[in-house]
Amino acid sequence: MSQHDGNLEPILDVNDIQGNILAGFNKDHQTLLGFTIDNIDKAREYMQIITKEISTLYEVFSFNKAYKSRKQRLGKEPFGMISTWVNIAFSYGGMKKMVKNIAEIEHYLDQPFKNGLTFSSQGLGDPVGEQSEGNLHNWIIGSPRSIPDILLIIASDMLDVLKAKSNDIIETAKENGITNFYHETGHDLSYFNEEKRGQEHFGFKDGVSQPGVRGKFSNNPTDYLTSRPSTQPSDSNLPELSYTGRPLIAPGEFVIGYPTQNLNNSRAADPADPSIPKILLNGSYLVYRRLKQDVPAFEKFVDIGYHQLSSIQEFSEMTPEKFKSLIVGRWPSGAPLSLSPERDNPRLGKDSYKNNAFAYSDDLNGFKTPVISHIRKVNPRDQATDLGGPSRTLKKRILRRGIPYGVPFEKSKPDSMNCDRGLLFLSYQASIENQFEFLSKNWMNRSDKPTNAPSPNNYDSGYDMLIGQNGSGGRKRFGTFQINRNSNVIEGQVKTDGLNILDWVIPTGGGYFFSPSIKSLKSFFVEH
Amino acid sequence: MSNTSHFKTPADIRDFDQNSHLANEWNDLLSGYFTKSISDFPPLFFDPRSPPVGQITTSHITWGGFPNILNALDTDKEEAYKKADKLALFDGNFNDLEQKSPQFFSDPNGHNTLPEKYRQQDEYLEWAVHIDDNSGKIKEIFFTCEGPEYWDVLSQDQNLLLQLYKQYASPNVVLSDLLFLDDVYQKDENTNMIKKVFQSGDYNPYNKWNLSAAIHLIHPSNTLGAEITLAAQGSQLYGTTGNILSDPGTLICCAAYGEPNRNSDPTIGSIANTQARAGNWVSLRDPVGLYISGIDDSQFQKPDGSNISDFDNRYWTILRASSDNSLILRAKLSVPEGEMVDGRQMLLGDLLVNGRPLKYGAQVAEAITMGLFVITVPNGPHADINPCHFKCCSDTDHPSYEFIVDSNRNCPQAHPFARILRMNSLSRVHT
Repeated sequence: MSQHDGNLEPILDVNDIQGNILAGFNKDHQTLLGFTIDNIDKAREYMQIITKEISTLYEVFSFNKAYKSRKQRLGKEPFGMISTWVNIAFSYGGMKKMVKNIAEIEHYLDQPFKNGLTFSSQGLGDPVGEQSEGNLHNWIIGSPRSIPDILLIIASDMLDVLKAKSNDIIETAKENGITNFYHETGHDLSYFNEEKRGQEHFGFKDGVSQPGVRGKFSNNPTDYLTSRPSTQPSDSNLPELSYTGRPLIAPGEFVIGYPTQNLNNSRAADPADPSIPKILLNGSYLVYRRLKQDVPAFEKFVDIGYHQLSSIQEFSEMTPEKFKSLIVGRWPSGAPLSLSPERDNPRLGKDSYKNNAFAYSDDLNGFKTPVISHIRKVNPRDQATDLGGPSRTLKKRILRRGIPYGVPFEKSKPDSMNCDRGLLFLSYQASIENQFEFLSKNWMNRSDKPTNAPSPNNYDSGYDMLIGQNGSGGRKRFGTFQINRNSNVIEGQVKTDGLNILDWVIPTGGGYFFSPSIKSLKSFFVEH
Repeated sequence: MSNTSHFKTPADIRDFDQNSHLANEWNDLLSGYFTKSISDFPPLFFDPRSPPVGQITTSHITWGGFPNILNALDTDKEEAYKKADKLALFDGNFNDLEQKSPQFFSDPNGHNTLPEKYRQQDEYLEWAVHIDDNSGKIKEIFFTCEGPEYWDVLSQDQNLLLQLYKQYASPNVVLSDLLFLDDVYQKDENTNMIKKVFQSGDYNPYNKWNLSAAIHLIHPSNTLGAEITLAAQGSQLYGTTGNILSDPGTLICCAAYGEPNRNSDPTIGSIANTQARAGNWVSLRDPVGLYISGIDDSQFQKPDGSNISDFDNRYWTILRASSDNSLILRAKLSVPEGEMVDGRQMLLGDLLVNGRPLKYGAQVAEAITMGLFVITVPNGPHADINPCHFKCCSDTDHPSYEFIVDSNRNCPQAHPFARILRMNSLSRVHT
């Protein structure tokens, strides 16, 4: 063990950190509100009012814990146990309006945050065709003309309460020189169909794998934010795990000002940079991407890809559902292919204590979980990558807090074909550049990273075929799939070359934001 | 297994087409490396010219070209970029990567330190930055990943050496620029004995033209020999019966087959080891070499923030590579002639890298992916398990910086940097 263990579990400032960052609102309904600050003086006064509304880590965590406990006792969702949460974040433009002397902290601000998502869009591989709805100039929110100064996230178990709360905030803000111009509500798909609880629109259970965050609520030695078993993997270089098999990661990777993961030792932390300015402490960067999901296009791609692959004799037993699951790395239920390679296992999918208990180093070829599957691209787990050992992958993780928007697609209802539906993707991280953008640009959008499978045909493994992009390569993508036959590797590639459909996940809005601490809001955002 | 063919040159480059002696010399050098590695690290490592029977699969292993050591040492990225671009002296002191440099002397008594320098870039990618005299901005950057041994062999034909330097560095190169004019001595770190490492008239890998044009690798750790040894050592099993090590970080500390702080070494060793644990034969694909796999154009923008169209073809020039350009040895980044900004020729220094002004070659190196190719064949013989003779310690001031010590030693508490750069593979004289 390292001499730096002491930094691994700092006491978190639970009344200062906004609640959605580390605890997650985890509500069935979530509204995003975008505002422009018209009157800075009034807006600063308003910050004193809105700050009281902001839900803290302590509040959200405590509620979630109580809810879970009650659910366990009842064996079903506890009726009537509701809460409504509010969190706030600012774009760089918003911060410049609100914070005096921002030039003094410029050096410490994340570069993509300062540039904004519009600057990064093309680098992220977004479509650039003038007519494309994915072109940033056509975005619904966050285009150069519609970047919010403030983004509010409001979440509740009850839609009526959420609406009332949102309307109340919009009204009060308006009286204080802050104009709402964007209002969008996402729902867990169980709102439309209980069987779709926790799913995204392509039909897969979402949010199964989240990192476990280290840190404690108090001096009590076991008062952890993320509980964990008493025994851990014996190799002290392997990460410690939570009860649910999720690796425990130093909080500084998500909240600024705390120790960060050591590059080489999964169970050690590096001290936080002491020079970080106060305004950033206990804050986190928020990425919002409004990702439209074109379900018919995806299904069509699945059909084409499945045919491309099954035309190879050794892949002839492939089914569309299997192919779709190979693209994701999990079956629709959330059951990992790694643990259930042949067929879906809904019981495993539901079992949060087991559905993350797997690794890839025994499956270098990706016979079970293709190297290009989405979950393996963004989280290569125990594998060495282009960065070195897997301890360095832990520094690339993000906390996802997204929620679907739009009604689910139903084949039997032709009207449903053209509806706008997708994911309000939200993620928190300490660095947009090193985490969200790294994952997108360096891993999902590249055909040769983070790893390549050993190939009999000298193929690179390919792109993340679920949401990866290839902006400069004519949007063409490919994925390599392998099976083992009598100790021989048989390989097939699925390519989008020549297809009419190239995009099934289309960015239609978003932005880069900073989610400050409560103390920061009270001081730096209200000062005249 | 019998060796039936010659080893190809890196990227199958055709410099030796007119000189079979050099082709033989190159083959002999690589044969020697492989023979030694196969003997030193049995039983799964094999000679790629005569693979075992079975399906051959190739793993394209990739890593980032910016020295990860600087990520471990510096939280300030700008400082890290600055350091990566600087040259270091062979003066026996610690360089900016906290590696102890060898010291070169011009006399056999260890006096008169020579002014030779090397690049502090140790991910098998090195670069040289050219500045525009008028504006002080970066004009072009040359990148190389050619192993020094190749140029050492090539230097036996001084006409060819001069011809290639004139072609790739400058028409002004003269032969004497490329040679040591005196004998060169170095102190052995273990014995403190002074030994001759180059003779007067030997090729000087650290010559000024290589420094300015990045003709081939010169950081002491960046050698093809190191690559081959790493793959061979990685193909052995480590740990104990019932607990064979698999974690890439644990393995490199146990086996000491490379530099744990690099992007490259832990991954190369780990991929070889994963194959060995699966019972497969392991080797490197012929042509054995280190290659630039590509540059990520998504990270570059024009001064106004707009993206650059056709970056790969217009800004990125491949200078030495295989005939199909898939195996790149040397390349240049520059702005094409006629690309204008503010009514003048645009320069590299006008571009943005992820929104920041391009001020250092290291920023570009960060966007470059490196690669090599490990090959495997199934059904290798039984391999014994080797105990760990080494372990890693982390530095007290920079906890993400690791160094390797003997497994029976305690981790030192004070200034424990213990990386001494070895450079025997670059020496022409072994005494």
